Amino acid sequence: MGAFDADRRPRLAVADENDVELGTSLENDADVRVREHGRRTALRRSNRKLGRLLFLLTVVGPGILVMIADNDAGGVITYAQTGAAYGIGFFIPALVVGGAIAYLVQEMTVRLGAVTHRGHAEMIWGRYGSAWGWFSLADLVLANLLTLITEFIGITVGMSVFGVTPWVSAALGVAVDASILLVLRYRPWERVALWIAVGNLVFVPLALMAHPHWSTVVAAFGRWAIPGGFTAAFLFVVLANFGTTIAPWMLFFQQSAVVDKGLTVDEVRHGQLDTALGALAMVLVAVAIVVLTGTLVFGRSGASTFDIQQLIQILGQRLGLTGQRLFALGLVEAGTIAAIALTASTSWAMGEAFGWPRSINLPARHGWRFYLPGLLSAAIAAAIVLIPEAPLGFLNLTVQVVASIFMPAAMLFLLLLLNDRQIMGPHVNRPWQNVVAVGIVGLLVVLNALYGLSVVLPGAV
Amino acid sequence: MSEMVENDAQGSARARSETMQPVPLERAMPSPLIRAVFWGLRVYILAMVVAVIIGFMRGAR
Repeated sequence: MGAFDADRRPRLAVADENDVELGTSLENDADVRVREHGRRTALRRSNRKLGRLLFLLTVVGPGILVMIADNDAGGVITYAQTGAAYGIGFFIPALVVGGAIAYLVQEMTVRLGAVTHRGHAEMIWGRYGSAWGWFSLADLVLANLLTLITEFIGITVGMSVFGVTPWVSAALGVAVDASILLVLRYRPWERVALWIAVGNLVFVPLALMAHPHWSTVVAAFGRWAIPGGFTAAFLFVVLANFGTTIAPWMLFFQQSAVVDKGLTVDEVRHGQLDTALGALAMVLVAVAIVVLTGTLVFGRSGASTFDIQQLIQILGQRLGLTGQRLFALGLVEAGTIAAIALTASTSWAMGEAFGWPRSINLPARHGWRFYLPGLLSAAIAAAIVLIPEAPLGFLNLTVQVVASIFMPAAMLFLLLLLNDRQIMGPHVNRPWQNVVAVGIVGLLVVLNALYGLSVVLPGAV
Repeated sequence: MSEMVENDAQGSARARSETMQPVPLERAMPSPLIRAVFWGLRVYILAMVVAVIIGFMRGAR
């Protein structure tokens, strides 16, 4: 398609609007957003403390969800293995820096969504053509599917601690994901997802139960030493942690969520606050996991090669059954919240690319085309995890490789869009934001290229 | 009076609805610098895809 035909997408929707019921649903969807915005505005203008608090609780959502969902099952496993292999040294300060980077990147999606009222996929498609649009969409859908597999690995491994078979836990995971997406509309969906996200904080009391030497934790910030020197294995872990901190799906998810929630330009700073709170929670949980295994597992013979089952076993030996079960519960929660976010991300992106009516406010019978891709990807991922002898380790690596190819491209488009005065007006990036963003893109290209090489050509890095 | 309030509420809702309209989109005309960056991106993607294929072929053996 030469130029983005702005009329092409609505035309698909208009054709569907011949169906009176769907037309009503679309109107209701718009009404819901307007009503919610009015409700938030009334609370924001309230002079009472309770009103302000209610406003804060109402406006938070996309930012906290995206950041907590980023501490997914794969992230929990990566942080746990990092703490076991390297202890509390280099990585805790690195995670704080990672959290700041995640905030700077995700904040841009808030502005982009609130100003344009369009999702990330349709912005790329519309501004940079169908070739880049197809590339971004295919990459996102594939990466989301592969990442969902890692989420279901986390869910089945965590549930196995409670004696639940993989079949039952995978089916339960899909059922929870599907039911809240199909039954709930955006606001209750967001609220339920936030309550599930609160479960991510279970790693904080676990870290306290490990009785770490807090002086060591504090000293890590002053003495940013690389444990064991700069080796290829160390670089691999750095890249894995960096890859865990920011991912392509996060850009698409938060921008679409901001649009579906109906945030407007006058709510950008509240969206930024939501994102900052999410980044703080993300760093807190990531640091807690590294402190946990850095205290209890680091220094053991073979600790650098422990898999997640071995780590859970050791945590059981050191913290008892309660500690072991709490960790397993955290792993299940991490997989569940990420599965919810990834499923929605796939559905939103597909809807935006093909011009389907796309909103979690749509009833299932009218928005089935929108809900189907996300739910199908979750069902496929759950089924793959259940295949006996499935090459799950290989799939896990493939996730990283696909993300490594995609992330610099996604960041580049984000940066271009945030400097597009024609669509962003006065909300374009400030010069310092561009300097930081260009630095992140450069770092991503170098790190992801090295990471990709280290995955596919071991020994080259 | 109540009619006035209702009209005001409807007007306010309409104004809010209008602020939520998606921005019109046209295909961007990239500057020479951006076109060069896009070529760099294509080269990066191609290099990464080739590396992935080589890596998977070696892994399969």
